[in-house]
Amino acid sequence: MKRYVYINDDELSQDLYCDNRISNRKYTLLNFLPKNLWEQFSRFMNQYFLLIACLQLWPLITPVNPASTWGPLIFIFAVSATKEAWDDYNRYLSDKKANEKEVWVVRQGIKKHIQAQDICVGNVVWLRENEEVPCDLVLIGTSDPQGVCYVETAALDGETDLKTRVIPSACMGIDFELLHKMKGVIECPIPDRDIRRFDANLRLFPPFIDNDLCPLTIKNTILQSCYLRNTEWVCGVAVYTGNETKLGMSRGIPEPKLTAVDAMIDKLTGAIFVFQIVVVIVLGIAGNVWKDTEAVKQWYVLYPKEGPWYELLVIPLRFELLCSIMIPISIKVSLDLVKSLYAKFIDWDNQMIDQETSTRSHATNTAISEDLGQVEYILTDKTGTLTENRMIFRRCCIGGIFYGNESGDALKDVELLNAVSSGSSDVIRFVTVMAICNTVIPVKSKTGAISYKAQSQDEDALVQAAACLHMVFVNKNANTLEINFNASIIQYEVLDTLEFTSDRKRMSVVVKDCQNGKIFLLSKGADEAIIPYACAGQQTRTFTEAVDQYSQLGLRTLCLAWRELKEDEYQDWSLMFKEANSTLVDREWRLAEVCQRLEHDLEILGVTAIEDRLQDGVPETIETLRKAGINFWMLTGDKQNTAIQIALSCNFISPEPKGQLLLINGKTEDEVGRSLDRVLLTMRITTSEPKDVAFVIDGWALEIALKHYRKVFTELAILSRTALCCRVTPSQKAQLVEILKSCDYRTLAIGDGGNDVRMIQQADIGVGISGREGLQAARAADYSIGKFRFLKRLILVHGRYSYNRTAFLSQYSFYKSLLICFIQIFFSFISGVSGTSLFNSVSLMAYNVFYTSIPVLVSVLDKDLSEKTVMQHPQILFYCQAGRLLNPSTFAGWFGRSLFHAIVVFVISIHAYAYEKSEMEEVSMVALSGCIWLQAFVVTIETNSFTVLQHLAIWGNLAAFYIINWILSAVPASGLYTIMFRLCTQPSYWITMFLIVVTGMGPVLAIKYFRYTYRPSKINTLQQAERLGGPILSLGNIEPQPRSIEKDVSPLSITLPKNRNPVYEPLLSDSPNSTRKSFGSSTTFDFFPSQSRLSSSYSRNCKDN
Amino acid sequence: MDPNGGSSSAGAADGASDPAAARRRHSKKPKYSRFTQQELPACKPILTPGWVISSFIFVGIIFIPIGLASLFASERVVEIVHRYDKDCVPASYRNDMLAYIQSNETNKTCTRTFLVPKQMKSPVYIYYQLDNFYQNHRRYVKSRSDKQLRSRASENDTSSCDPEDVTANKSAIVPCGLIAWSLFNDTYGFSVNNTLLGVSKKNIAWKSDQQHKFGSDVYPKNFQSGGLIGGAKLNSSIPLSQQVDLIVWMRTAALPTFRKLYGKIEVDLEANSELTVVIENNYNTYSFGGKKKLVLSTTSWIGGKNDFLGIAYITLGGLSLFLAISFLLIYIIKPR
Repeated sequence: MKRYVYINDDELSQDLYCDNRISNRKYTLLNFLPKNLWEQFSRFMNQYFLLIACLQLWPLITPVNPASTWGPLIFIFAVSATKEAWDDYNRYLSDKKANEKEVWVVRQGIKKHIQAQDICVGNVVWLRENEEVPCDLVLIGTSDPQGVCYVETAALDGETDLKTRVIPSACMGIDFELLHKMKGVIECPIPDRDIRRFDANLRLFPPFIDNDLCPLTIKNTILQSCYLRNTEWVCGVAVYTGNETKLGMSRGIPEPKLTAVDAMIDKLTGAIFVFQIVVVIVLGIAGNVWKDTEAVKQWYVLYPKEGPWYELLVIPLRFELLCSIMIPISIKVSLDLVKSLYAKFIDWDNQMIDQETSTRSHATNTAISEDLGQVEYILTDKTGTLTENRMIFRRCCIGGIFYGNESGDALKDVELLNAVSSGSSDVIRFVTVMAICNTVIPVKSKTGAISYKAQSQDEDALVQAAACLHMVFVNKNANTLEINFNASIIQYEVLDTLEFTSDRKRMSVVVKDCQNGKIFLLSKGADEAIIPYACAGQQTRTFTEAVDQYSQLGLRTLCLAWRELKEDEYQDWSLMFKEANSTLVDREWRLAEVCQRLEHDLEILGVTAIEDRLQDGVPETIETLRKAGINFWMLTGDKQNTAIQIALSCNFISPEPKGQLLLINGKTEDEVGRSLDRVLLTMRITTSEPKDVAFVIDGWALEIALKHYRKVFTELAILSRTALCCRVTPSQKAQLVEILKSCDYRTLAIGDGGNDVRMIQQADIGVGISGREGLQAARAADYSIGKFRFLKRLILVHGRYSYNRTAFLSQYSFYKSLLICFIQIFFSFISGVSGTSLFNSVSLMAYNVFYTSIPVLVSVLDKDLSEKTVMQHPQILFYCQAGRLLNPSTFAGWFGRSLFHAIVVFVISIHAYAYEKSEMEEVSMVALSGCIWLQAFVVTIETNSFTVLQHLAIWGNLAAFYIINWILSAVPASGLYTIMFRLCTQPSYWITMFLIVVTGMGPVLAIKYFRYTYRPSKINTLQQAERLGGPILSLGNIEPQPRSIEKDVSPLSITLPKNRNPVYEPLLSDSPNSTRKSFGSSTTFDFFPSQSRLSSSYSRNCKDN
Repeated sequence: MDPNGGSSSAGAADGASDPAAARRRHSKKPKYSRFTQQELPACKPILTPGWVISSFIFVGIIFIPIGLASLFASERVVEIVHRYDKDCVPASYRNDMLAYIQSNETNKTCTRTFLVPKQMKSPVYIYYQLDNFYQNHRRYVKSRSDKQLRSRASENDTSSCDPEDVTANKSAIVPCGLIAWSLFNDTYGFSVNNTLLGVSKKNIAWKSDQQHKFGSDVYPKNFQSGGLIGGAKLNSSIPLSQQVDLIVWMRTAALPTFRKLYGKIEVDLEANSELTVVIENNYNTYSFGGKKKLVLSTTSWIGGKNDFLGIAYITLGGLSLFLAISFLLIYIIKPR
């Protein structure tokens, strides 16, 4: 399929292709309601609630007023719909802004100012410097005589350097005025999402040159949402517009993330649902049996002899409705509410403000804070994330003399300054290379200050440093460079630029000194790419030493070299170079070969050392999070050596002999395979030793490993707590996240640049650092923070508290619903299994929505341990990671508690209010107030720290319960009329309440006390230490040990990675024999124990003391 | 892949608004507040042995006296319970009690005598107790119309009263519904030592019910006029608000065993005096094997005779003390 774009043809293409209107909207005004409802009802919970609400419309079976379900249901739906509508409206606004931006377009041969949305395919669009590209354009002209322009593609691929784009050869030299009248046809593929490919042809119509086909590549295009930089103007032909641009095609709304806690809650909800169905079936059958045997004798019930056909269903359905409150409709609302509050706490946190830029932390995704507390793997970018991404020239070694070793800053080294001013030739040459051997473009601002546009931060650092050494790179005009050295202008003509490639690892320029006509080759590059090509006889030992020394310090090194070229040598070479430059096949390889011919016999001038400073607190943060049992992987686009150096300097890996690095390398499938096997073997052996083992892999090997040895690599990934992946692409980063996720680990990806965006979106939690590489990552991320060190607080404080709070809140929600539901079930046994509701509709609704929700909502302020204690004992995070606070067994505890409390309330109510007192409304209110009292005390006993708000909510709620019911009791029309007044004046009512509270809470308190004192969890131990001020008992060796390999546990098939067993811990007890799991036999790669790692690595926590 | 999930538009918008956003962030920067920093002063109690043990002791010390007081009050209540459903059926009908109660010809009057064991101070409450009677059955409990009972205007509001809502010719029954229809209709006449005792029906129904729930302008209509007669009939010249037996009956019981107030005897009953009751045994509990009992009882601050609370309190108090002591012992032997 091809698309033919006719340049400047207003009639032809108008209707053929879509206009340039961008639409990110999900809904329109008309389809909003149906579409949104459809989406909401695709969730199981909502379907369930709707079904219940519909069943309640049938008066024969409904135990309560339908409003008690419809009200909350409509409210919940309205809230979600409003949120969606608001988001969509904002998208509409931002679309509108982009669509209505004014651009210059040629229409009928005249330049016109039109809105961006009216651009058609085939239009010629004019752009000025710093403007955003409104659609995908094929360049036809620029202000630059060479036909070059610069664009910033950060929005597209996240790379912040400037990219050069050129106009197609056919358009070279067309006059500025003629561009308006240009006619031609571009044959291009139908729209796709590949931003690195554009295989098209251009044929210009006469009178514009020949009739030849001119091939177009991605180099000839500028894509939507890029920015034009350093170029006065460009014009181009729109080829893809609107949502059909490369960017538009690749746009996708990232999938909503679901936290582990949510998944667990869903699972528990499912279990409760099954339980409910069982109850309904059992009671339904019992009810029908009772009806057929007993009710026929109860003449006053007056059952008809012949019922309708659905009669058998009536009683089960009544029970279904009666039990429907088992799944609390309030849980969704409460969870949404507290989650947004967690997010707010992150936004508000004053300790997570980056003081330098005063950026606050921000939680974009408000729904996943609990997951922060359950992180098991952190995948981090290096540059800009661990480091500041601010390159500073620190040291250098020129001709064997080290500068900057004492002060740590060569620019302040007096000797160097003296050497420069005294004109030492070595030093001058060195500084000259620093200043001009690059692709930096100096930009003069109106005030005369010079700023530099550099493709790489290193070059920028070198040029800046040279400027400080009085060698100021002032201007670059076409091929002429101007340098201001000690107030005199020196001009150089750039003859050729031998560009940097990752294979060559060096770049060179060939320049001609305009004063004496001498030709020089200036090179800079990695040590291994320069030193071997030193001219014979030069001592390179000092340079090698310098490189080693600087590397040890974690500095990035570059070797600088030069050579004077003879005129004829250059001329010969130049021919070859031009020829190589124009080859169509294997051009890169040919070029490299030709460059090689020039880059030899170099005179090495010296070594530069550039520092990319670690951010503050990075080593401490990594160490703390390590202690918390989180594994770190570093994924960087940088080269291996730098990565290792940085990793060493930030505690990421330990130096020998404590640590061990295992390299995985190889260029072919076999090599990589062998390497992998070897590393895996070593890894297995060393797991028993207390050694920090990390593997290092580069992008190439990773590609092969992922393609051919996925299983082996996955196993390695599980075994390894630390990994360094160098030279990885954004998509590889995402793949690595995917691998860890497939093993059912909770992953957190942190990065700062656009190249981290995919990994951030892929991971369970994406954290973006709003740093120097722009805000891309921060915008795509779930959380954005200013500095890496805030991660510690984000995880240990916010994540941990969020998890604890949600764990309590969700289980409590089920507890209170089950409590009231059990009472209803018990009551049905004494009401002829007929499905009578003991409680009236108002009480039931208020119980769920109001009485029990308010006190528990303030549990968002609960703190089991102070922030300080958590920071000091990060090991405690284990309880969150392993899901100790919310899992089927803790849930069973709550289930049991609700059953027990229901029995207490029910038995006491019906016995204390027996015989002459057994009036329906009264008994119902006695039972209800019993529940309210109990739940107030349950919240109290589960709360670890009481603030004013908590007291207010718990006791205020209790008071509010009475006030509300007194008010209701004063309304003659209500069923409750005078009931509460009556009860409250009876001494027996209050005596009954105390009895319920003490009977219900006594055993709970006793068990809790017993555990707390004699079987304390680590949390309890810390609590005691914290509050009693006593010595902190040794927490034992919570420091994760290498995982042991045991063969007695049946391994889990790789095909079932989701079946990770939650850690079934006996509730709150840390018995030594609990959950010791580990790997199965690892000789076959078909199996690997995806579930077991965590537990095994932590099982020893449980057995100290 | 688009990093933002957005488009050029998003880029543009963001690009333009970034400085603005930053400024906004600044201005929005909340002042330091203890709430936003989650640093509200909090008290953090922990379960220290001292605290837990003393609270258990406290509970024990409080509960045992309360239990004793309740039990004592309950013991002081004099209660006579007399089951008469079986005994009031003549021997000839013992094998077919249902036939006896359903027949119109049989003599339903029945005289029972018993001794008053202790002195009963007035007022002596007369209850009837029904066993195995499901007033809380869903079909039963819902079959009433509060609106109809309250005002004459809603006389025809009988939709919830099925199956006793309208007569065969579609005119509304007042009061409608199964509850009213099955109104208890045994009557009792008392005499002590051959002196007739008056039974006062004053204040046996809740005042609030009489005033607000049962209309003074609502008169029984079409009541018990259908083919099937349930319970008692009502005098159609007395408004519902004065039909105290109906009002008492319509306060449905939550349990299948319940007592309802029949009336009061306003004189003291001396110990060992002989009480004679003439019972009109009309109500059918025989079909479902329900018991009927006549209960005479005095009252106390805790209500009628009910040992449950007292016993529960004493048991619980004892258990608390026991727990406290055992925790104490354990703590002494093994502090941790």
